[in-house]
Amino acid sequence: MSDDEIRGLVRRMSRRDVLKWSVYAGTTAGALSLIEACGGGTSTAGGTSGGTPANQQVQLVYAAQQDDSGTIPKQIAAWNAANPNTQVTYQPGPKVSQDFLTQLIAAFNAKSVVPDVFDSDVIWPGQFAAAGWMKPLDSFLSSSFKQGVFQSAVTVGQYNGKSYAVQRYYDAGRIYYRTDLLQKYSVQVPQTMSELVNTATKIQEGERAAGNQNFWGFYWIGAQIEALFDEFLEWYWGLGGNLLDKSNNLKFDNDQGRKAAQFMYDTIYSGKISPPGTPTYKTPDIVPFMQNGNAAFMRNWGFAQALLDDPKQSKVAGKIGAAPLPGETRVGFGCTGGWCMAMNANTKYPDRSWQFMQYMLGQKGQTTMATGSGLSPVRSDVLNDPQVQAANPAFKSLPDILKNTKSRPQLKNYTQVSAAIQPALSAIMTKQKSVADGVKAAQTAVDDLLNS
Amino acid sequence: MREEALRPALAATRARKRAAARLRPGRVGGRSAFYLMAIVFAVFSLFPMAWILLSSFMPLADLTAQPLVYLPHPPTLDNYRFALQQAPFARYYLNSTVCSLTATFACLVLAGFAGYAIARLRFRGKQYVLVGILMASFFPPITQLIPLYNLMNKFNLLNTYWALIIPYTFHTLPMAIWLLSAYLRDIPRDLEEAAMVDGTSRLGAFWRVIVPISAPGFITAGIIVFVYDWNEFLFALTFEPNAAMRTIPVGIALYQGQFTYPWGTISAATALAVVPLVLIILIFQRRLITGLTAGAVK
Amino acid sequence: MAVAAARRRPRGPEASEARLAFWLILPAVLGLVAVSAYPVIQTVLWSFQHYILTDPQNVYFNGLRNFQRLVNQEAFWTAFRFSILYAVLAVAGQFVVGFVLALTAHREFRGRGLVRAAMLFPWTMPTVITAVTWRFMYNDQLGFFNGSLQHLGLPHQIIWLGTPTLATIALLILAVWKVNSFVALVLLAGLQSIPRDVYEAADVDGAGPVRQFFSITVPFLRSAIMVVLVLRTVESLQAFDIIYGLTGGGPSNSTQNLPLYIYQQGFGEALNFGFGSAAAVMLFIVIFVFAIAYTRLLYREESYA
Repeated sequence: MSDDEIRGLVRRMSRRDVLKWSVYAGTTAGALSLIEACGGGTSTAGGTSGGTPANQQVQLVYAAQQDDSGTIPKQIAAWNAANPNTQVTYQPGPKVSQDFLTQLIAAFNAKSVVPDVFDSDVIWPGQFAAAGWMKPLDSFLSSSFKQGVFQSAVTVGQYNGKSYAVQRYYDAGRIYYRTDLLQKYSVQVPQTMSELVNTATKIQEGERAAGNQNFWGFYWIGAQIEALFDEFLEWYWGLGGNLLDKSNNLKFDNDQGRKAAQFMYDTIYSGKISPPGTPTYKTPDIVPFMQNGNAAFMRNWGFAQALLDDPKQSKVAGKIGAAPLPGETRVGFGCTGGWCMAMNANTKYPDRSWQFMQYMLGQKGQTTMATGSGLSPVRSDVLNDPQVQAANPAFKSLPDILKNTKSRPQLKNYTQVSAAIQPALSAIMTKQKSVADGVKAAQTAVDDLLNS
Repeated sequence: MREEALRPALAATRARKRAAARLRPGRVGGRSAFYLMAIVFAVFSLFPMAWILLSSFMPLADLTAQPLVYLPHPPTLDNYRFALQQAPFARYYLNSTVCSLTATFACLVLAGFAGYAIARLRFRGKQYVLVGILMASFFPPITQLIPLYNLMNKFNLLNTYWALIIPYTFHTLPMAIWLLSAYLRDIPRDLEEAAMVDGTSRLGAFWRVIVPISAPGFITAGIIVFVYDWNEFLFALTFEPNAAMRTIPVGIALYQGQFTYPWGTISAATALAVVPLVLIILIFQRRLITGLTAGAVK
Repeated sequence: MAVAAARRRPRGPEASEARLAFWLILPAVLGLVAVSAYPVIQTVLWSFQHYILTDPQNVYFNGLRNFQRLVNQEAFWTAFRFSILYAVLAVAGQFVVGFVLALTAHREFRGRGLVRAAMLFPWTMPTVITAVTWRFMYNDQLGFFNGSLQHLGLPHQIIWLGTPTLATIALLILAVWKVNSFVALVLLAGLQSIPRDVYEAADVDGAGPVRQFFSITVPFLRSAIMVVLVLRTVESLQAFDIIYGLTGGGPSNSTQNLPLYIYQQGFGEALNFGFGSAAAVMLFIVIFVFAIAYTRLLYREESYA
């Protein structure tokens, strides 16, 4: 049908037709409200405040990133069955940290009473606590509870001397390596930075000579994202650097800072053990290279283990090991990650919320989590549980990795600081700035922030 | 009058052109060049979607193979199965449709009236009205996020369809008004006046004469506005945290892990989101005609 | 004197037209004001305050300090320059490609339906997914582009997103691809309302295709062209999703435009709403200048009233 015919037909539409379409529109509007009622619901509800008597039925909302392994719903179902008076609803959020953050800050800025309990990235407690969005947990943290979890699980959530969050599962940067290639070239797992470079070079030369032109010795994350700063910190700490000076200001424009940046730069341009595309690779991008068997070493977070060991997508399943980051003269430090649990400062039911948190951080909840989703638990009793070990053979290397870690500082403007440093590091890695200039630019940007 | 005189000449020209198109040898080269250009354009527009379609049928190993693999071997429906298992796609479709359709309809009504007034009525200061309306879109959406969220919260609209319908309607309104005022402008004034001479009111003339002639314009504006609303992400993410109220872009983004990007699943989800949308748009353009035939008297 | 008086008093039909116009436009304007006024006023107010979202106890009136700090930042000017560069190049590319595509889709030929359908895809694909898909296509080892170059035997180790220049080019290619269909759709609708008789009359007069294009097609499309240019320029100055998904502003903030700068320094990551609002106000001024310039330029000859 041509356009002329369209026009002809519209012209012939009478007032009756207009009426007909309006009625359709009206009924649709009515149907809208019905559909809404069937599916969605409204968020905040009115209710009592103050202390809640023990036999009063209470509804809590727990906001966490969507759990594809289905473990969180299992944990919550178990809790709900055992606690009829405290029913928890799971509100799954985006798995991308930044998007989840957007949802949370919108809610907390509006002083919403839900979610009552929520997962927090390890770098958020400083900011959230400063904003008054997290409830201090000191009154809830009994000594028996603190003894059950690893110490770092508690210290990670501390800001200005108070506790605001407790780690729910760990993560730490680590070096993945090919066990078969180390054997083939008769080399050990590198413990120092120079060992890493030498081993990677040796394996790379050997594999390329054997015909694999796509092989690279060392893959790491070079894109302008948070992980770039974390890797810088890992080398910086490994070289003996301290992030905070005596007056608690961030200072990294020093020898170790420049050496750390130089090390990263050299892997690409000098030693050539890392591909030239490294400054464009984000966290998920480098995993396929190792899965295809084209990498000797990879620095990444804990999630990669499962992907590398999955025979459906990895050619090297079962040939992967993980070790802590190397340092200058001895084993270095991985940057900690993972997620914590915290309580909404405006929650109506702090006591019940703590009970739920205790369950998720307790032995039963953590065991379900470790066996179901492979996340690293924060309790030694769970970590040493033979059933958990059987479900996660990779956990064997965990104690070593977790022992050699350092945490990013809890600052009230951490994301701002990181956002100021990342571009300078990226400039170094893409040859836009020299190492010295780049590190100085990063320092200047951070200093400028403190004075704003 | 001139048309009357021209008619025989026009008929002759048409006949001559048709004959010439068939016979002239140089024409063939020009024609194949044109077809080549058309093919290039079609490929240019389609290749990313084609790539996504191919990826959606690829097993995990093929997706990141070195060197590049074009055809899945063997093709698999796993990605689609996984995408549909993991998320209530039907519900996302419903939510997206309700919000986008309602917002588009409201926007077109408001923009139609305003665009008509600006295009065809005489009054002073049109430039200022147009720029003033456009000014509403000069601030980036992220700056409006928190204030609008607070507003929505105050009126208890969060997690409802209205939380999206209202912003969507007015976000696309400046663009729709500008588009419709352009389409409505160049229609000769005589047509309207001829209709009004019969005694029809101005608005009657609008409906009977103007809208039919500018129907392609309305349809195009409608498509543009609808697709814009359909693909909106930021407000949908923030104003509808409830899983049951998610729209398609948020739903697709949810497959993405914190550190993983499941290409297969996301390609399947994207295919599920885009292909039906395109088909619906193409069918809608025809349905509008058929639907009107059913209602048209005379 | 009577003449002068008559000129001052608006004549009957014109006054009623103006009144009708007022009532027809009012609902739209009211709605816009209601929905946009609060956020806009809020943003302007914040731009004069020291307001960091995660520091709510420490909010105070700051005068022009945010603006001062903004203007002294090298990063702001870089973002400003890139905003303009991107807007100019992207709109030019989108316009030319879109126009040619519209002309192609307007001609009657077998397969026109396919081209018209193909035209819809870039516009209907969600921007965020599209940008990330292209990012992967630009991957230097696993991506579609380099992989295809490799299969063709051509040099294929281009690190598309690795240097500022290449990243900008890669971004512009994506921008032209994604938006040219908007231009094409809008111009195609305009083309469809040009009556065929005009062309045929020109044929009778003996005018060739090029002459017909410039004397008939372009004038008829003038309104549509103007609208397309203004809308696309305003939107390109606001481009966020597409750049964020493709490069995130990198490498080293070389593809960061003002909206991304606002996100990084203000609302998204740093949560410094005062500073971000000041940057948003500056962006507003930039867009406003462009819009006024366009409108003056393109409306000058038009006999609207």
